Amino acid sequence: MAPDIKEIRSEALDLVKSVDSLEALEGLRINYLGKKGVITELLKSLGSLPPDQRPLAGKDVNSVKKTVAAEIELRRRSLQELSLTEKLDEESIDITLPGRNYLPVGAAHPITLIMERIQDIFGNSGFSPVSGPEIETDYYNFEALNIPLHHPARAMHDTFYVEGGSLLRTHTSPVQIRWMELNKPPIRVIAPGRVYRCDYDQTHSPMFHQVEGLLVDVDVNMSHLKGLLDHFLKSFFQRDNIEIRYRPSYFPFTEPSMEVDIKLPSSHGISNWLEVMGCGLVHPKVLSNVRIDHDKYSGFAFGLGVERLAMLYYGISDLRQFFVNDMQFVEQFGN
Amino acid sequence: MKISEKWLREFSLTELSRKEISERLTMLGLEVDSVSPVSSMDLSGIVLGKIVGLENHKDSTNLKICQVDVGNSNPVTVVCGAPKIVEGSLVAYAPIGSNLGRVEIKKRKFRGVESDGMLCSREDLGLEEKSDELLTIPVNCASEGQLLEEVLGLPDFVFDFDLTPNRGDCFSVLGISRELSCLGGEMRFPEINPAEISLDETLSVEIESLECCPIYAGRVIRDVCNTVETPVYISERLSRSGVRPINPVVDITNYVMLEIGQPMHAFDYLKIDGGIVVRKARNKERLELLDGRIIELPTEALVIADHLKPIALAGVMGGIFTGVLENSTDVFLEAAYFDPIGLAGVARKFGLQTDASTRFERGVDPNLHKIAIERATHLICEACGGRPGPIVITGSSHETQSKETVQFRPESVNKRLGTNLSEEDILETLRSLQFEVNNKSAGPWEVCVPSFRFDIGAEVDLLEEVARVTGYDNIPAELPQFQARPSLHSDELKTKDALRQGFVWRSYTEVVTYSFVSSDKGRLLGNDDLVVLTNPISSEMEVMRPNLLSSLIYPMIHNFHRQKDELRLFEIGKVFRREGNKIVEELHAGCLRFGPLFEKQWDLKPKESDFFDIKGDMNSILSPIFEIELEVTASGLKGLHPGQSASVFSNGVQIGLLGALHPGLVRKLGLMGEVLFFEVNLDVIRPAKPKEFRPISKFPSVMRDISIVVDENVSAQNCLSIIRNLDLPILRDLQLFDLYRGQGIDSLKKSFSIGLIFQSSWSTLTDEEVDNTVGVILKSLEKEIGAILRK
Repeated sequence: MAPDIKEIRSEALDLVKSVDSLEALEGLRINYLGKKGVITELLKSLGSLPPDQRPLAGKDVNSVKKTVAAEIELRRRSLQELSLTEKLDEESIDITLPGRNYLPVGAAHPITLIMERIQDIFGNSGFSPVSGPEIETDYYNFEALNIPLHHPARAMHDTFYVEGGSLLRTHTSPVQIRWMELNKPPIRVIAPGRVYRCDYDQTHSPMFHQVEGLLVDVDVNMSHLKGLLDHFLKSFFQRDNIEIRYRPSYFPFTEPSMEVDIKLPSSHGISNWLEVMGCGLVHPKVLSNVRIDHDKYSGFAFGLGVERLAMLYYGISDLRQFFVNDMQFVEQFGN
Repeated sequence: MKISEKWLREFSLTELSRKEISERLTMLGLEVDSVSPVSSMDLSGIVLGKIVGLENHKDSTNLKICQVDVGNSNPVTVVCGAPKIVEGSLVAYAPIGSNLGRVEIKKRKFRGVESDGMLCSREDLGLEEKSDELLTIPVNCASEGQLLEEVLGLPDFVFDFDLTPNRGDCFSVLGISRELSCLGGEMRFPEINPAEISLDETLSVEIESLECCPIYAGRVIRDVCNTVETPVYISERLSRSGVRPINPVVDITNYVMLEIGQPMHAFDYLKIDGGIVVRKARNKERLELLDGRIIELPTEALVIADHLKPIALAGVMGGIFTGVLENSTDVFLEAAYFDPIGLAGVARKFGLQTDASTRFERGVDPNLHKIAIERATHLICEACGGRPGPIVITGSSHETQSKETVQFRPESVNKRLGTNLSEEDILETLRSLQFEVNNKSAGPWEVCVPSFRFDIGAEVDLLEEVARVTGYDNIPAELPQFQARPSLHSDELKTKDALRQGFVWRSYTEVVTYSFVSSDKGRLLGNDDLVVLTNPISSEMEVMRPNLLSSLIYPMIHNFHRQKDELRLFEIGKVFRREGNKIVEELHAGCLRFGPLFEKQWDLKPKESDFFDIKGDMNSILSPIFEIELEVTASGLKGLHPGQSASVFSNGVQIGLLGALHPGLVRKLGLMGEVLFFEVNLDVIRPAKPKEFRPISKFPSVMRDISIVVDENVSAQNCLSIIRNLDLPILRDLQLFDLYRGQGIDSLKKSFSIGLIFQSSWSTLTDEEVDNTVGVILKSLEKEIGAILRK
């Protein structure tokens, strides 16, 4: 190799090694390998050599060109990597800062959450949800349910009346009548909704919620009612060992009638049972009122107190909380 | 109803313990609410003492120094501060060393005088919540030195029953013991002998309303000394049942009612004019009742009258004029049978639920009247003396002869209860409840119902009897079997659930508010078709809400006053209005919001929310669930911002409202800032149709933006619908992306920029095709609203 080529090679390689920016490297490349670069010029000048020296000199120059080009490329890559790392370093942020929250999630009300839960459980058992009006007639709220005028049971229903003689339904049971008037057995429905009683104190709200259930079919008996409610309560509270008591009671539209109590964990005296619903076999008079043959068909009905179940489920002690709607209260129960 | 345990055990020979009685009766359907001791203190050390000496304390105006004979030879000295101490009276004395609750009685000096024990009030003895006066015992009922517990019948407990309305027969000691007897405890009834008649005087009784009062029994007793004190055991038992002792004759009638269940009334015989007439009230007749209330009697009310005036509201309460007082000497006792329906709920109408009306409305055994009068006569003569006349019974029949008979198929028991009871079991159960059963012939049994059971009239009633005596716990629990039938999940509930999720994900929190609001709130939007309650609980709850806005205001105000500066609330529920004579209920969903667009955050510039945020909410929440093509027109409603509120239409039907509350209203409600809301009627809005697949175009889309200048009064909706209505086949989508006013545009004009996206399903669009379509759009915009392309 001619000494000048050797020199050019080592000089170029040194320069490439020492260069520290992509711009300077590009300058270097143009300087050596560009159209008028040192090495390019050298290649051009090969023609002036005697023909016998040309092949050898050509080989040398080309090899230098390749080597320099390769070194430049290597250097370029390393410089690029370096600059990327620097850039990324600059871009690093405090990843613990809170995320942007344009729309925080809201919350559903505990009453509707509990009603959904009840509907889901009975829905899985084949009960379809239905509904009825909240302003009712005396007929549907009382008369058809075997509570005639002057019946003492009316004293248990402190009724709100509206101008014109209608009333605010005192229970969800009128939906039973409305549904049975229009549908023939087999019937399996539940009717969640608002009910109203003219009573307001620490343990009574003038408006509250019930879920009514009705099953009418052939050969339905009390043991079926007990079986279903047992399963419902266990499923609702997700506990197998819940203690349930069925106590004789009285509702004009069911007979035999019962109230369902569950045992509370605390134990003081005899009052540690808490009533959660009323139920019974549908009274034959009620079936007659909707023209269902009460010898062929029988059925049972139940009415759940939603607030009562919600209070037990969430451990809420004051009924009135549900209707004050303080955000600190409502936002606790999720969605 | 409250009953003393001792009294109950006098009637029932049950061997059950107190706790067992309470549990077994509860499980028999007679719910025992509580069992509580008459006094929570141990009173075994308290004795009766007679005040034999009484002088004032020299150094005190309040204290007295009493010499008390406690049955020993030497009277003890007791210093006492009671307001009224009577020499010669019998009082309760707590000797040194005895305990009253946690207090031990010690020798103590009161202003220099040593007191050797303490004289007690009912409060001191734990017998009453509050009483200052000393407990005194009539001297003819006991003597000094006797134990107080022995005299008062202590210790004793009180059962408080919460009876269901069908069991009128249980409103007495007799009734409860009858129930206990079917659990095995025999019954013992006090022997009642007819009084010796020493007077031939009677009072004429005439019944005008036989269907309301089939039987009326009466007796005159003369020369009664009603100034004596009521026998202790009677006044004690009355107190334990929550009945206030008044005077012996009145107390005895109440006592008989509690004992056997027959409400009675005693009239002052000398104040009755002529005789008794049982009749309906005449128009505008008035009666002053024993409690001092004067009522104007409705004509359906049954009254006891004399020949001049009404003297009692039958089966409810006596009149004050003929009431028996301490100084009454001659009385007329009444024991009647009033028909439950005949009383027509008059008591309830006047808010006069009395012990008598409670019993009569539920049914009183029509065979009790005579026994009751004899029992009362006996007790009155024993306590007050007197000369009874003969009992006069007036009515359709002296006894109700025909008892009800019910046909009963014993096989229905196991069929309806799911039990496995034998006919013998069933028979035994019915007989234990005093039903007479004729099961001799084939076919259904004939069951004869005792006259006190008003609740038994059909087979199903007997079924319940068998069930409750068998015990509900002994009925097996089995799951019902039925055909699998997919649920007809109603759209309304599905919609509600989906909608609720929509609101929640859009930052809204659900509330459940009362369906009734104040009439002010009901009229917020100018509604004049309100449904008004006739008996509201308060003025804040007097009309049914005509929209959700009116009730959402309440939690909004509540939370605003609890430092919430950002709030988004929603509710799904019924609203109510009148339409002529009809009441219309609609299911609505509504929400309210105020405060900034987002919570304070480190990298978001604060921004107040405005009309377009609530409009965006409405669109985002509703469009996944409903088929909506929202169109808005100014609402023009009172209560809303005139320039920032809208009636919302979809497919030509009004579905709701949207916008900002009127700033004046916001101020009036005590709120601040811009309060935004929307509300939709879920009964008219159409659910989204099931989605149908549309093929995806293989060809590229072309975008063009146009900016047009229009008059200020041209709305965006107007502008966009002109383009949509052209129904251009290649226009896939359009978007209004800018609104501009200012430099380069006339002051009465504005500029909309609209992004147009073109795409064909058949071919790649050429520039020419797109340009032509844009030309069509610009032309019709120019024609319809004078829009000019902005250069």
